[in-house]
Amino acid sequence: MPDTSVAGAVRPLSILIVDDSAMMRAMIKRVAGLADVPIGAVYEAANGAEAIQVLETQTIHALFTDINMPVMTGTELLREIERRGQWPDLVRVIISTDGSAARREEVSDLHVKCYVEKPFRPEVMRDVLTDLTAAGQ
Amino acid sequence: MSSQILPLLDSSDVLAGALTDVAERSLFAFVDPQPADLFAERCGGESTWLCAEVGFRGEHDGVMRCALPADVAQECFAAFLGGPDEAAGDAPIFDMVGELANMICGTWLTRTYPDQVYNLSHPDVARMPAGWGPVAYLGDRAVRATLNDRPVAIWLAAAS
Repeated sequence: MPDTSVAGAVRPLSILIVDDSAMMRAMIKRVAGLADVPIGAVYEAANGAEAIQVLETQTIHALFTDINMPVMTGTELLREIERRGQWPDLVRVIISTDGSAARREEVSDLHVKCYVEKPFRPEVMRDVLTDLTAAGQ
Repeated sequence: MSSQILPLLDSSDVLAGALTDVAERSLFAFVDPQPADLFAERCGGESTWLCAEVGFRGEHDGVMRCALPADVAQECFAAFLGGPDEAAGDAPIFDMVGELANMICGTWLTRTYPDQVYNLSHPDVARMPAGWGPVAYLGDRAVRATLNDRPVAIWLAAAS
């Protein structure tokens, strides 16, 4: 888990949203802003390859990624993160329309903290962020 | 891999359910199924349509298409982002319609084949020519419905 606490104060979560739909990224960003948790910088990427570039240059606490994306899928992104081993504390959350048992099994060894199925109600995202923040304290 | 989509057509009720859930959760909109004759009548009153196509590959390969009037898409856009009902350009509207189609397709496949992995293509969205309507493309098991009292259609086709 990221170090989100300093002497009792909760450090804002820096998050990266990866989805090939700009509207979905905007929606997730908006819902995250509505949650009662401290959100710091919010970065966006349209596919896994762009996400890797952000991870290489920014400090990210939590990654929210779609699965089906062009260039590099979410599964490929998570595998690349595993392969590199550079971000062991990065919290990984999948937000995808594909909630099949087969897909969940496919990513079961990729240290995914939470799997959110689209479409989701805003409170689901709020609960995920609250859990991430609480776990980091 | 198989290009046969015939077995998928039997899951049109699940497809309708996916549309309902996506509309309620993402757009705070209501969906009502429509009989074919009434649906055709409603479509006759619409002028400009948007049509989204999402390809899926897995045990069965095919495409799911979703058509809705352009001004309904504009209303959905505001609901999707929870913002003011302002006119938006084609790019964000097409993006949102594509994402809706993607969510409907993904939800439908997950519920129909929970033990199989399907890969979806990036949605392709187009503004259809004047005079176009979806009725001619809808088979017996297509989804005919209204979204906040305006027509929306979903149908499956073999991969081209």
